[in-house]
Amino acid sequence: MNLSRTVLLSLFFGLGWSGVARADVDLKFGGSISSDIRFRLGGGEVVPASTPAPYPSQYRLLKNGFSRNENIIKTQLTLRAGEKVKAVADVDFYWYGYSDVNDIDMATLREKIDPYRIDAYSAYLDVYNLLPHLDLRIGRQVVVWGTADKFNPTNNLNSLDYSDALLFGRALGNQMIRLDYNPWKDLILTAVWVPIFRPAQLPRTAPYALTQIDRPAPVQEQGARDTLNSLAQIVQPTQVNVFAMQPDPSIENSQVGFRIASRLLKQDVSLSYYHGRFGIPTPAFTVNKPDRTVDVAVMWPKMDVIGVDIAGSIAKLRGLGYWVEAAVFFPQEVRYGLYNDQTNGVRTPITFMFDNMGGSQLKMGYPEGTRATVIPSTPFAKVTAGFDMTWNKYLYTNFQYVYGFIDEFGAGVQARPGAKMGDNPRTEARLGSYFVVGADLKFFSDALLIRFFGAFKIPHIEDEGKPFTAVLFPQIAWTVWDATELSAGAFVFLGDRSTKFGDPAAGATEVFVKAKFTY
Amino acid sequence: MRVSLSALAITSVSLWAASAVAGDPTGQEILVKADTQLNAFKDGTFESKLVMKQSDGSAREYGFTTFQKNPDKRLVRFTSPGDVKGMGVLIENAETMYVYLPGFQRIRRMGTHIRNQTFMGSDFGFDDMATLSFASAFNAKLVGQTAEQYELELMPKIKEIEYGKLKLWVNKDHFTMAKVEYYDTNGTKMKTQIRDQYKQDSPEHWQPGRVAITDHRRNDHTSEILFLSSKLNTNLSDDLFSQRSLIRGN
Repeated sequence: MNLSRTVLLSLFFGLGWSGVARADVDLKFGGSISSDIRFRLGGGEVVPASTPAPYPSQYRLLKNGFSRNENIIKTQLTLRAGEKVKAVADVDFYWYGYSDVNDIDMATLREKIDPYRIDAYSAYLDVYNLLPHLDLRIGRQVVVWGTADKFNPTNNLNSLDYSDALLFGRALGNQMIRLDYNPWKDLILTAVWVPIFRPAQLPRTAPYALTQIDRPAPVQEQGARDTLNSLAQIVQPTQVNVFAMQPDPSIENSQVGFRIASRLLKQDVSLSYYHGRFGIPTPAFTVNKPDRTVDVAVMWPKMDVIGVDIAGSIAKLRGLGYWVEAAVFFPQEVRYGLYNDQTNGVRTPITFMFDNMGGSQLKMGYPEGTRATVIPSTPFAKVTAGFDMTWNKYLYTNFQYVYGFIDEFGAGVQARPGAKMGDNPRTEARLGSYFVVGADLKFFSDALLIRFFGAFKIPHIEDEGKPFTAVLFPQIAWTVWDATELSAGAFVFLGDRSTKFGDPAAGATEVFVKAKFTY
Repeated sequence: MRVSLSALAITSVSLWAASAVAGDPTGQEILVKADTQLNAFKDGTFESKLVMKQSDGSAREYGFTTFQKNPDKRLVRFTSPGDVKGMGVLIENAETMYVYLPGFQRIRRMGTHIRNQTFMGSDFGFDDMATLSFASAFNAKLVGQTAEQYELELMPKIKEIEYGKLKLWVNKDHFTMAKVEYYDTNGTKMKTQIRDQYKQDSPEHWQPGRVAITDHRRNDHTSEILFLSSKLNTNLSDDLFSQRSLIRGN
């Protein structure tokens, strides 16, 4: 029995430990201390929301300025009680590294002088062999499904964190109950229940997608879109306010997932099902106010997803690793509710009369016509297929074809803003195709890593204009000593404003320096 | 390519019977005997430390625990330093390998191309770490001997071997391996491996306390693995060598 650790824990937690103290408790503590400084170049300015103060806080993104100045302490505590139970807490403490002071009162508040946040990535309890071959994990956790790298269409249980482009959508922890049943060899059945939906963490630049007045209306029908764009030009809203309609914490809104995984002909295969919501919100309602302000409401569409993936190694190709992951999405249809509020308080619906030729006529008032479509109910697929190869002890390469990027959702087309302010919008397929390539060059016993990563959009035939767009992610990392890494690099957005990566809502080019010590 | 312990044992017995008649054992007989000694356990747990010596005289260290169940299964859990702590590698057989990355809470199937990597950037190649049977991959010839050791020359008999030939020195007392020299197809010495500080950890098995490898292509850069402890034949469960076990972590 590890008595000293048990005594220490009893002192630390004060009470309630007697039940566990009988078991052999093993405590492990780890984590990291890191610093992350970034400078953005040529981005769109983002001012703090709801901050009318004349003197801006540092909580803003400049066209050219520091976009991140974080210090992070990551702590992971693991407790084991024998072979049966494990508890894990994985918590990150972030200090933003800027002040958010708009008036003299704020200057007296420590949380405004030195803002910080805490992210609980994991906080769960494992019970192994709850029943024979059955493991239970309950609490805040991340469940990762799929065999592809980063771009996993079957991986939907956790919403993603898009706030840091360098992470390409890290999964956000959420409270879940997970059961893994391993009745025979490689056969694993998994069931997950997520009581409460957690939305994705959007980047600071996301409001651009809705608040810029020359943004095309997010509807599928060309006629409706043109009409709404014309109206917007006539009305010229003075302000766009975006509200969110979060799902109620009801049983109907909980998420479930099932997966069966095994090995077939030496290849890993799995089949999965997910019922829940897409993590990124979509516009659902707009109300034009008499004072020329506009209220937009967003919601998180429901979806059912059937996924399949396979991964393995091809001996005849020097052990090439490969993976194919695909998912068919059955989305909730989202129609665009559009209303005009009048000075007398009357709210009038704006709908359309669509004809068979693709044309449309605006219809105001009751009875309502047809609402335009934001997300059609048409099922759609997302696919990632790739391979990787270690050529020698210096060079590793990775290549993926991605159909449907991590933030893309829905069939049909989407209209993008013009290349410059005032230019006509252009349309492209809502789900894009991408080549994603990566290479690691390692030297000096892996102490020096030169990494290049890039995602390049492949235009579809139906895309208008087909402008080039890509992101490039070169970096150099130097492990100066055990667990101590210094790194520098850039995340470069290429493309004009009408493209996926050139859109200011996607973010802006950043250069960064980081330091990290892991313990 | 792997051969089972039983097959090795049968081969070993029959070859030894032949050598008793002929006098000195042949190179292949010695190699089989060395293989048998190397794998003379059903399962084992090894606490180890990888030490990579730097040019300035300092050293970087990695701690790891290896669970092994012969003939093929291995589970490696890294314990230090912090940047690899919690990482796990599961080798189910020569073609099926998984890595568990705690930062992402996911298991990733690895192509066998990772054999082209070195072990944590050290001078140990994947095959240096994973080779459990030399006799199945090499033809051996006895080319010399002293009072303490046999000297064998090993020529590859399967095309997957990257080396042109190996020279192997086997201790006569317990048929433990003492030194391996690796040559390329041009006959240039690439690496030298030394196994020493042997301790007996079961009636049939001697475990080296240190395995050191020197890469002559890197100005004689040296890495070594220190075996801190070993526990053999504890009936490790097959469940330990599963993805379910891998994701449980340390």
